[in-house]
Amino acid sequence: MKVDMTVNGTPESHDVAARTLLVDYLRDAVGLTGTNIGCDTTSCGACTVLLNGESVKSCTVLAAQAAGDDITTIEGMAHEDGTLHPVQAAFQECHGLQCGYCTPGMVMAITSLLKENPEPTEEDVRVGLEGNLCRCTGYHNIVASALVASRSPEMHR
Amino acid sequence: MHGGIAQGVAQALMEEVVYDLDGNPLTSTFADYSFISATELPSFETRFTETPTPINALGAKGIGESGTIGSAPALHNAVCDAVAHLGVRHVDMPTTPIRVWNAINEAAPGNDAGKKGR
Repeated sequence: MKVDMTVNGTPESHDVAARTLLVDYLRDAVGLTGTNIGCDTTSCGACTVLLNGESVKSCTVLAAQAAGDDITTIEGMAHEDGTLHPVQAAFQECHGLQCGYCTPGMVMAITSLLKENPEPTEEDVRVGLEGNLCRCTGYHNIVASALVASRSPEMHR
Repeated sequence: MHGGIAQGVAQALMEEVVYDLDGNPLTSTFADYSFISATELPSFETRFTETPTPINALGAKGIGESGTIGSAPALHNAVCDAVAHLGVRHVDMPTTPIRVWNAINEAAPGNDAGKKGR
């Protein structure tokens, strides 16, 4: 079946099997492999993307469910001149990653969280990130990254 | 270091690979296996100390996951200490709520099973 959607501002139209998951559509049909597949069971959050600005785990959304919608992946976060998005910049500043596997999902989840709650407390961030797992960092620097990003003027425009 | 601390905490409180009597794994996905998240953990304060080892020329020691080595017994001992006044002498790791609850009940006065401390 033909599934159309906008990915990072670019219209996409691909013929895929009806059962195709959004994450496979993004990785295999569109060719954007920044969105990782971790658990395939909606537990780990590595595949988190924004669907119409709100975070979803793309391993449990059918591509067909996102037809006509606006998807943002990690590839769509930096500005066109290469300047990092404030959440990405905060991860760099705070060393919010080690192996990096959870990072795209963490960046997308935090971006969505900060949209809902622009001035979160540390506890708000910790509760908001419950669905995104990280084995390396102990979350300390990821939480710090979210709090630093929340103080970026760019996040409050 | 932070990740090691988190993994030790998780090992003490939550994480366990479980098999049934036939050896089938019962914790093969994150839906069955309790993996620690940011919600269960606090922030950490880390300090550096320098104690060179005398047994090699550089004085170097492994560091990578030393957080794990300390945090698991610290957490486990804290749980055991918290219920020691109820007569509990031992709780198997990980100290899940049901294990702590059972240990408290088994240690209750009049329950001989509690004398074995399990």
